Amino acid sequence: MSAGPPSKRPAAGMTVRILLGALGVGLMAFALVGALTDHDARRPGVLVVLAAVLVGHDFVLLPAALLVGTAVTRWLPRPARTPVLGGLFVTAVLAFVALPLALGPGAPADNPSVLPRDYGVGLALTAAVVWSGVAAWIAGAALRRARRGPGVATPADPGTGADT
Amino acid sequence: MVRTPALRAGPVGRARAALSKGPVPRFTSALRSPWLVSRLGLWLALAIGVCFATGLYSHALQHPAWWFTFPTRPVSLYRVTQGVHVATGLAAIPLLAAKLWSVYPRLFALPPVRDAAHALERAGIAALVAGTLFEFVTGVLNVARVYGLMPFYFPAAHYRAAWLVVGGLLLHVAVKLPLIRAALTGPPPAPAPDGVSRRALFGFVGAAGIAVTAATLGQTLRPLAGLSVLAPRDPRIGPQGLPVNRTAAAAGVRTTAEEYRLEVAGPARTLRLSLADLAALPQHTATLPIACVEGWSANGVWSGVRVTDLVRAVGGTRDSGVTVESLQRAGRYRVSTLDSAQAADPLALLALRLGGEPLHPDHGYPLRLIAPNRPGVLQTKWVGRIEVSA
Repeated sequence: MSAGPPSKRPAAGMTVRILLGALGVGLMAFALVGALTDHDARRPGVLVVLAAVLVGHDFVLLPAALLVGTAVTRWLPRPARTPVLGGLFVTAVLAFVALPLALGPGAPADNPSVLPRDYGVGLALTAAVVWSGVAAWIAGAALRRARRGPGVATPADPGTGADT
Repeated sequence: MVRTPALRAGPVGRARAALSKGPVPRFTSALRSPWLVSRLGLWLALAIGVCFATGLYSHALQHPAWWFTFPTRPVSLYRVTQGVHVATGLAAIPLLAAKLWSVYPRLFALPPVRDAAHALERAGIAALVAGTLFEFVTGVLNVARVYGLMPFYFPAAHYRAAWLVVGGLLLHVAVKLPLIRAALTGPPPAPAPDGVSRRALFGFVGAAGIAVTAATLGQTLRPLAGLSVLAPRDPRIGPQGLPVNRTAAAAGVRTTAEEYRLEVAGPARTLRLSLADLAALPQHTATLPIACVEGWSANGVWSGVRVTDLVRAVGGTRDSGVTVESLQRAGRYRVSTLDSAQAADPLALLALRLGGEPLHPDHGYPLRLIAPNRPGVLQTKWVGRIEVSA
């Protein structure tokens, strides 16, 4: 446990923390006991998916995102970096929601009210809106720079600002 | 803004020093700071709190406890709480992504474990992160109906993992409280010389949240239905202009007007009513939503017989509870119950019609339950029998 900054009432703060922590541990134990006594939740599949999402996020998804971010920061011209990183982030979040809809089993044959849209098209449409915004952002910033005219100094590019 | 060394060495400076204790791999973004982490964490915790409260409410409605009765007003309460549950979870996806990114270098802190307390803390964090990712991923998979990737019963696992997340979150806050307090009350760190600004990062998170919300909220907010191109449902699409979760074919129900009888069993007598008998009883109309646990909802104009009229016809009272049984032979939601207050509500109907037309088979022809403030799975379709307690 990391030491906090000195407090005027360390004892009171510590009591709150201990109570909070005990409540937290209690609820986690409640979750565990509940899962073990619930026929519907007591499945090895729960553990498999818990582990899969943790490993998938920490060692696949996020490293991949960092690589993309590094590439953008290294290779794109400076004024485009922030808009492009933003566009990538919003698109990735939309894809996280859209891909299960687009690639999943979809609607049962007898129920057209389930997943009634073409979600691949939906993702393309939302991405088009996002990237139009990115383009407008870059163009607007370029226009403002041009209006200020040449000869205005911009901060030197240290070339190490990879946002990883 | 001029920052003095004294300011930098303040609580935030110390918190940052504590956070960056130990050699970590080279993560170069200057954006990561306790100031940022604590703010992302606070917003994420609020979102999780909203999802937990609305989720518990939904769970309690579906697993009624003897010691608590749920209100029947406002009629759309569940429509709102469950819509908020799903919408908040979807909108918080970018928050979760940003929060985990902001603390990612800590995953590789060395030494991995300092002592027993530190080992327990890290195990708690692993449980919290795994549980939170589990809730977000299974929630998205469930509204997209990708059941194949979930080798368990989603409602049960999603409910149990929620307790793990909230417990883990409280433990996490207890451990980090001094850091959190210092970071939330302290001044922001000096702006990064290069790269994405803090404002831009919050902008990304906000923009992604708004984008996901706009792209999906139309499944419960009809005016947005045309805009929400990623909504799993369209409240305008379905038989009689209303979505359906379980079709008559899927439930294996086939009945005709000639053979159908509703059995009403009560303390005084048991009635067997044909469709003509039901149509001859006083008819009432109510505008009530079908509000699905999956977060979509749509209003219908339902007409039929009041539950309370049938209760009285078989000798029940205002204190009688009602059990409603479907003609479907199997399924978790074959039977639902109304407590006495719910059964006595004048808007609780056994509906024969939707929008003035006889029910479509997929909406429960010939007779379905429709009552206020109730999850869609408890609005029993193809009702064949009701039992009225004394």
